[in-house]
Amino acid sequence: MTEINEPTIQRACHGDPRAFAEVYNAFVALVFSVAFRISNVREDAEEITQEVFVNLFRKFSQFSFLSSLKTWIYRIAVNTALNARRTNVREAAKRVLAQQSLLLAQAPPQPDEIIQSEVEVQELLSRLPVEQRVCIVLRNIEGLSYQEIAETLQINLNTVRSRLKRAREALLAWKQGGEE
Amino acid sequence: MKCEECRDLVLTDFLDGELSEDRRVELLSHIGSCEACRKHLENSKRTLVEPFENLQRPKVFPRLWERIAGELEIDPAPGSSAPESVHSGKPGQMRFFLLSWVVLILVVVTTIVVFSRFSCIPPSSRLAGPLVSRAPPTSVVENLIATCRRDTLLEKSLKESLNFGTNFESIFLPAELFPIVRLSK
Repeated sequence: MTEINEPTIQRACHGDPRAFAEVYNAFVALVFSVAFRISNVREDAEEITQEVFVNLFRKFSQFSFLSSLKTWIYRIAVNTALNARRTNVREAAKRVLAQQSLLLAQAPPQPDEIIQSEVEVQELLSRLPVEQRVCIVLRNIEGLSYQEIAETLQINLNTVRSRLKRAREALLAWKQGGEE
Repeated sequence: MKCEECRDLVLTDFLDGELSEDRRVELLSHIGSCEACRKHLENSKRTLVEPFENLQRPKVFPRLWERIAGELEIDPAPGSSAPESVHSGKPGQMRFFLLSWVVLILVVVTTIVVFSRFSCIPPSSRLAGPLVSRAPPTSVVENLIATCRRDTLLEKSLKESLNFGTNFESIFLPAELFPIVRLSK
């Protein structure tokens, strides 16, 4: 991810399209990844990413510099994805299987272990309630620390720890149940 | 450390690298002496960590930015140079363009000058003295006449190409080239 310096952020806050394009280039992969892992549907992830950046451009002046820009964008991305998921959840359930096969079909040739990981992660995430799923995405995929997850979701550290523990217990139980 | 505490820590702070060094040493010491907790750790790594290690971020298509820029009504390519054209191109392209025009203009001007000099030469034998003196035959024309005299085929060809069957052209062209016209008058 490209680092964005403060003058660029200031210019983006004042509506400079060039600065905003730099912010987009720096954070789009992050936003799209979070959106895709929460929604599990590529088209939904594109719509969520679009909504995130449109809102970001219009509300950039509200960025207070009290938290990092990355944390602020993560927060907007997670909230937007959760809102979209609430409205799209029924449609998403219908589309998810077709989406998985389409995703694999469209992907460039990849080693088997990468394809296997993609399938396995989608399977694991689909087993979790959404608040646990978000914590796993931010920790295991995005690599955020407990403190960063707490700031992004505006919850305390023990809640982060608790959600991760319950999510992992559930996944272990599901996996062991499948193997037995 | 009890097994329950060890297993909770394995699922959270230990797997995520959030455990302090003292607690980490304590946990590893317990795992070294507890077969069940060791298996729990191995199983947790295999199930909860390894699948995420080979994961790649999904590809973002460029069309997404175009859609966002379109909705915001901003330039989708701010800061990038305009499409290259002759007028907004690089300095080298501009120099080549100007040089081409200069060469073209020189060729056109030279052609006009040469044609005008050939076509405006007054026939010295027909025109009055003052006019002859103002526009004397050039050395080029003299050379041409001399060449024609030496080469009868060239003389014939030149007469045919310049004579349209009237007396009019004999007014403007050297009398040496039109003995027939001159004699017929």
